[in-house]
Amino acid sequence: MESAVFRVCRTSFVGAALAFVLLANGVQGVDAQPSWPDTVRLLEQSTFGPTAPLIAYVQQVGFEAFLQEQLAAPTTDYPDLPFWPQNRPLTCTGDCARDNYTNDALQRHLFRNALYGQDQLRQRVAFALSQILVVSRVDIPLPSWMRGYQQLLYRSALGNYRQLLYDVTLHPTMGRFLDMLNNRCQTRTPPEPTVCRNGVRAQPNENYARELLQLFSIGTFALNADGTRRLDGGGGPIPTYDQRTVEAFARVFTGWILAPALPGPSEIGGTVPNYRDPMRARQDSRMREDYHDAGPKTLLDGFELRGGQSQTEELNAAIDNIAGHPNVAPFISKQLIQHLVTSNPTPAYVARIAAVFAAGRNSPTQLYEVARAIVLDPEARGDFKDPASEPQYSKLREPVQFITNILRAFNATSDGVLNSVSVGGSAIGSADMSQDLFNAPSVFSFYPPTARVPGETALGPQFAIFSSLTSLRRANFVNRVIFSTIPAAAPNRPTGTSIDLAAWDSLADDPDRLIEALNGLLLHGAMSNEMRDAIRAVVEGIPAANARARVRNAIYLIATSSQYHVQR
Amino acid sequence: MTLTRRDVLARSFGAFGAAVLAFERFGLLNALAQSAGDYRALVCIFLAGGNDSGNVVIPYDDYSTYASARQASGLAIPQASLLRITVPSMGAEFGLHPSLTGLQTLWGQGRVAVVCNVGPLVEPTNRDAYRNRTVRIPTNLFSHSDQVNQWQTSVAEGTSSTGWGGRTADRTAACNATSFPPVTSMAGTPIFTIGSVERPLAIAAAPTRLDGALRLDGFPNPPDNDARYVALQNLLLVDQDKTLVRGASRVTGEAVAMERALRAAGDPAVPPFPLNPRTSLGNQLEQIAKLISLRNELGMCRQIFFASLGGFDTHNGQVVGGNPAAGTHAGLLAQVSNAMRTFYDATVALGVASQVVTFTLSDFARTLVPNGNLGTDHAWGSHHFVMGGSVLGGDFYGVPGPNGTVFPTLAPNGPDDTDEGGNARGRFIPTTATDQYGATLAAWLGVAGADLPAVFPNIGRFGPTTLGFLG
Repeated sequence: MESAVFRVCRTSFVGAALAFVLLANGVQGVDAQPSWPDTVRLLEQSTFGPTAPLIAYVQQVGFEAFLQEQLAAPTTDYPDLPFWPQNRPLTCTGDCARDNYTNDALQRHLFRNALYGQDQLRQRVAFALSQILVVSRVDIPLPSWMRGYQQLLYRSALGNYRQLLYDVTLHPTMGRFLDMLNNRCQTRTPPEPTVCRNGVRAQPNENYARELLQLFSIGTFALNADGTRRLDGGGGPIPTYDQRTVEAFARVFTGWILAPALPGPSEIGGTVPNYRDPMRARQDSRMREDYHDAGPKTLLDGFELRGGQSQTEELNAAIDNIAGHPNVAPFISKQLIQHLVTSNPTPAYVARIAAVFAAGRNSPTQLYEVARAIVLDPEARGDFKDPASEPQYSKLREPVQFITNILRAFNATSDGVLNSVSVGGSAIGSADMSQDLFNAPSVFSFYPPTARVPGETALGPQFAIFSSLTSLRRANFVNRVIFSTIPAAAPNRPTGTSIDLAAWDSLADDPDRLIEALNGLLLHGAMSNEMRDAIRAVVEGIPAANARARVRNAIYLIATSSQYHVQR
Repeated sequence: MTLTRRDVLARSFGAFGAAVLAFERFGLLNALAQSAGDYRALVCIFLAGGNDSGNVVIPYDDYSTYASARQASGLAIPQASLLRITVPSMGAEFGLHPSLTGLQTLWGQGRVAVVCNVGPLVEPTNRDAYRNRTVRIPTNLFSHSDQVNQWQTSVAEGTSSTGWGGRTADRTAACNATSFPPVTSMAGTPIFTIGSVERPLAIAAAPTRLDGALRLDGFPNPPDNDARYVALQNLLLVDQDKTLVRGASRVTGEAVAMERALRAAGDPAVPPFPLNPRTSLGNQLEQIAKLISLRNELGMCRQIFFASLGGFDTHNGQVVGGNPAAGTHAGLLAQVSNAMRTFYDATVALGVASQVVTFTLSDFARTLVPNGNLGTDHAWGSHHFVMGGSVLGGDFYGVPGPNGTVFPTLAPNGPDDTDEGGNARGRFIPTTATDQYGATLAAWLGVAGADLPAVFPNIGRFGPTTLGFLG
């Protein structure tokens, strides 16, 4: 799993930890090398968590080279799942039911890819995109149907956004989730076969049209290039579209059906619905697109589709109409910043990234350029963010990020069974922390980008799923993996999850050195004196002979702290 | 020393001070001279996704109008399968969806009412005013996220950082004798539950035991002398200059404190719960019933609870083809009815049936005219259930609309529709504002009339202020 380049450049864990201590003690690194704290911060933003070897490696090659390598790194895959019938055959039970009728295999792979895969930037951006361009088990019951869509996000995460919108639109999984699949024109009265040849009495389904506009592309209000709202003469926001626009797009998105059925699994035979290939235009026996509404339509900003074009031509024109809207760049750029770096970017930061997004409109690596700009921006970089001048800068680590960050920091061995985990009666998986992978409650995902920090005006989207219940479950996850293990439990948890603290024991006889090394790895050296004092008191209260207990107590207190929950 | 929760929260390290108080009180409260009778609670059930209330409450006498809009597309519930209810103020028979047997029974006992055609409004709105834009209308109509916020904040234009449940708690919690939070949620921390002062406690639903509904692993019981436990608490008090750290510590601080308090709660039985089989909403209401059973021990006199059930965004396959009384929506409604009925019975058993009012909210209703996928799309005004011993049940409530009744005219392109022309789909303009619906409930819980505008800032635009469905 691990890349050759990382192996070659690997330094020992303690070595890296000590390297930081030396740096912190004033021994300067080689010129032009990024600092340890800034490197840790970059890896918190661009990967599923810093590891000591990766920190050392990135310090050596520099940020730019690291990011370019990330673009070139081979894409991680989800397992190729066989397509089973929608209704589970009675003969498919146990492992068969788990693997073909739950998301277990995909969830395990997402975690293992995040823990061990080398295309970290791609995965991290794909995870952000999966929370913007949402599909959910709520309406996608088979993992084989979910798999292709998530693979599309992996493949496209550093690609072109307009192309991604097009591919998402025609993906059968999205088609099913938001009802563009089998969406059909409305028969006119009197019938007008050139407009709707084989329609239904009802009107086209508005679901995909509305959410594509509201969530996937432009949002509900006209934006300035810096992501702030444009205002009308009366100081009010300006809607980007109205109900008529939604209805027009709903008519564009008619006529798409599943590609021809696939053969069923060898055990079953027969055929199964095709959730592998893009949807195709429905045609009658004379090759006419008989489900499509071929009438004229008025799209965004008065753009006219004259009607009578082919379904594919219309779809391309409609996606161009959306992708060309000036809102897309700030709307998507700001959300990506919020997913990677900070919930509260300045308008100037959003504007700089939106400019990169807009300039890359025709680039096949547009999203790479955007992600690169996000993490290399001056607002993202630096060793330390001064709370006096930037009190709101930061984001709450979301559950998947929290879990993977801790496990990667401590060299974990894991089977990836981390979504839904109950050990000793305690629920400690990401789903238990309100981030149930591939099973968001709705197309609005797990938390809205507009959620605020409790008791504050600052934005904190992830706080929408940070409650008394989930806060303690995060602490219980830390308690379990730091003081014990998630044990193997056949058949669904083949190895469990355990971390490796051996390298830390040797630091334990010197509490300050231990805490400082953990501070470097987990908090990029930003621990306050008050926090250090509280932790030192606990560590010093444990006999030095009990090195592992000292290490565990120190890690527990840092990893459960709000200072660690918040990536700053 | 007697401190109210408000006093505690006013302290600089609010969440933390509250901690100490909560568990001390828990042990002491049996001895407190609290008036056990003075208890009231609101229970909000959010039907997430936009409940098709057009198939929940259906005209029986005037069935043909309904059927003409829905029958051709296969969504009309057959008249013969409707659960008939008499609606005195309408002088007519209506029918409930056939899944709602439990609520029909309670309707017959006068314990359930329906509030009709409620929705977010900026100001009173009729069809002409809507079409001519001579009134302001709610932000981003027909959008899930916006309408959910508007239902939960009762602010239909602009934004609000607090919800009307939380703001109601801000103004009614003073009589609670401990720092146990007045707002408890079984479904996260939606904006409904957030006040200016009060913040919700989110706990696990049944079958999790109540004394494990929050749990913090790895410490002895009691944990107070454990050095790591003490340090964990101390760390919540430092680095308060970082906004998001402060926010996270606020949440965790309350969690740690209340975990400590709930350790003494045991796991009271609240028959006739548990449901067999268990359901999501049943599990949530069961845990709420357990908390209500401990109201005296917890020192509560006013409480607000939140539960939620998803799956109502039925754009597709809302009903079974050829059998519109079955399918996704029918299953969801059966769950709602069974859970609500059982919860009502539990409050009877606990002797608080007249002191607990349960009500529904939802994003919006759905288009009267379906789409082509046996489904419905987003609309606006919707009908809601209110349940409890204090409910003046067995009737409809609301503000009369163009047809002179509280129930809209079920006609696309009719007097209540936003839509025009031959493609009109029946997205009914609410005649009753969420503000009026909420104010009726909040006033019953104890918000004084003069304080209602502080909870419902736009209530003054609507008349009457309250709707009379609570005695």
